[in-house]
Amino acid sequence: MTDNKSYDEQLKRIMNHLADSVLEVSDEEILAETLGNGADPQEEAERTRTVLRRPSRVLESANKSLRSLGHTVNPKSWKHRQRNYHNNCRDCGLSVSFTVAGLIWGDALRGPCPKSDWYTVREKESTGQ
Amino acid sequence: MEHSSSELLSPVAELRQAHNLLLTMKDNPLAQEATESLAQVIPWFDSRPPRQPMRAVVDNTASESTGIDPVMKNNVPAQERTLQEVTAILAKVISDLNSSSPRQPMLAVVDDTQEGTLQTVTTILAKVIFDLNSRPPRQGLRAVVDNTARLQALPERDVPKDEVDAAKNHEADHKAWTLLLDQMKQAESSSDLRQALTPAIVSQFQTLTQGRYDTVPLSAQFGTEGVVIGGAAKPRPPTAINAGSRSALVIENDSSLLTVIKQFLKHEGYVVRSARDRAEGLRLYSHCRPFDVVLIDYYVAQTDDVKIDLFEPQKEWIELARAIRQINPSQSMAIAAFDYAHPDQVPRPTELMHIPVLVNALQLRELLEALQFWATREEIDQAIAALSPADLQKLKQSATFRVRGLGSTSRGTWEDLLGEAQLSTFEGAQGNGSGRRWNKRVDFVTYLRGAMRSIADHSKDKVDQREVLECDAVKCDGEGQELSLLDNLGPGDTPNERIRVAAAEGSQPAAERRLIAKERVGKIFGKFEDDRHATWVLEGWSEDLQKNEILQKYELTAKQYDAAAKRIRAKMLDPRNGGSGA
Repeated sequence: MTDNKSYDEQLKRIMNHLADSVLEVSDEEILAETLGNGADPQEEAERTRTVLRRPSRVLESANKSLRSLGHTVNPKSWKHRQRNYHNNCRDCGLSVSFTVAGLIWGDALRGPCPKSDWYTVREKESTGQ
Repeated sequence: MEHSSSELLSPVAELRQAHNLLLTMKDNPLAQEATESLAQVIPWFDSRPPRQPMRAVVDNTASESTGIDPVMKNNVPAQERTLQEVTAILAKVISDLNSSSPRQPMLAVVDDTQEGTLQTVTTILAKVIFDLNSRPPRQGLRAVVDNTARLQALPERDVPKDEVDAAKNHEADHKAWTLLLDQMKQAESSSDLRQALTPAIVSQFQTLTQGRYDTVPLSAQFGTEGVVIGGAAKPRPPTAINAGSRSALVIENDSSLLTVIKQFLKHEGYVVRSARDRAEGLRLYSHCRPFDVVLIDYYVAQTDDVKIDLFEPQKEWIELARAIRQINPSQSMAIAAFDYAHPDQVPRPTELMHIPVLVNALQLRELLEALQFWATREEIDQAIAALSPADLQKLKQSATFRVRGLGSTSRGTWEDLLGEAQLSTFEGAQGNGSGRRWNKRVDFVTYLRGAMRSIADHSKDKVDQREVLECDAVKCDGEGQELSLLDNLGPGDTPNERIRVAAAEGSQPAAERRLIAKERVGKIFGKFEDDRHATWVLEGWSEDLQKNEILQKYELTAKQYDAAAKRIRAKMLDPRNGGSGA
């Protein structure tokens, strides 16, 4: 521990070893630890399972919202920024973002894509024009 | 008795009905054997890949031929004879389903001379086999109704000249495709050969696919009346389905291309079902889903009799892919667009952009390899569903510690890190080059651990790269007055608060972050002042030593190490010690 930078690195190493050591613990032991902390293993498990399932649903939901408004995003272009994902409509450039926790926002969700022929056609069809 | 395709239930539903009916005839030993056969067929149909092995139960008293021994037929009671026929037919159905070679014609008997249960059973079986037989290519299949419960050869008919010509063209075409397939197999055998043969393969492939939509229609004649398939098919002994067998649905308008794709897939161990148009493809998918892969031709028609305009953007495959996705969002699909030079040139809507596009036949092999090793979205969903409470708890704790290791550069909570790892996996499964891909040979928990570690390390690296010293963060206001980001803080603000505000301003003052790390490391060691073994383990970890190295350096036993690690973990998670209780 000679300088401050090494403390930063030491903290990361300790936590990484702790994170890895968890996976070597037996199933019985980890469940006993959970019970020991006063938590219900089944409830905890379902909560974590929800965390695992949520991201794909959020992504699907974001794509669905964009589609319904006629926006087109490149699925390869989702950029990770801090704690959210960001993309832009290929046609109109409006932005959309979401977090894995389930928040979706952005200008693209405020209205139909002004550059989308597809939406214009659909709109005409729906209004009988 | 007439059966039209619109009346047909799925093969599974039909078999289940037959099974239930046979159960009502428990006393008859032949019925029992037939029931056993059906009982094995139904779960196999119902199961999702990888499917369990299936064995056919054959009635030894029934003829092994597709028909019934005439001598036996004359000497056994009518009901028993019908049951023998049913058993023989079941054995053949199972054999056919087990077979990886092109399907042979099957025989079904509709026995109208029997009343009640047996009559219903035989009708159902006939419908099942009709359904199984009625998938393209349908050359040589003819259907009639046998109202007398006797096997009869189909009468010879005068074949029209156009059908004869079509058959000849098809044969020539088939030989050319077979030759191409052989070349492809050679090319696959070694990289040198592949390099040498690829130009020839591509050239031949292009030649063969040119004008492929002008190929003549198949000379199939299908029975809408009922079933009995003519032809002297040599019976094959029942074989077991490979437990690892995979399934594919190919929707391809061109019969030659369909043949070569099917051969290729079967060679790769896939059980293949095929359709010539969108309507048939969707019907098959609805009845037989899911498949390991669904391959849709870009030029698929709505129905087989609709002419395709090659110069217009194709929409039928889009509708089909959308319909399949609606039934099963996780279904793995691919589009065969061999007339295009690059996948990006293939027009498709946003929601289908993730579907891989094959622009040459060699890419099919790459796709199959990818399917073999890389998990699909459905497989990821299944893996999540299969995680035990202990697995999930381990993942949670692992994510918790990993996030704490990021210190003040944290990406948030353990949920954020685990969610990000999972989203990346989900993106990777779409096979469009983004995200992380789960290799199915690796345990899912182990994979997620690696993904989280990678994300955390990457995050840390990014922070380190953009870290800003306080002296660098000094900016000038409009009047030239020097401002530091940390000037916004009051004297009573904690280091964490200082970091939070600074981060919100778009900066990461490294000195502050390191100060906090020092404080945290000190606290961790402070918790174990009286625990010598735990202190040693922590020291080892802080130097990034592995377990064996720690045991050696501090002369600890494995038991002492494990016990110390457990104490550290417990104390770090204890909410009374600032842990989250995870």
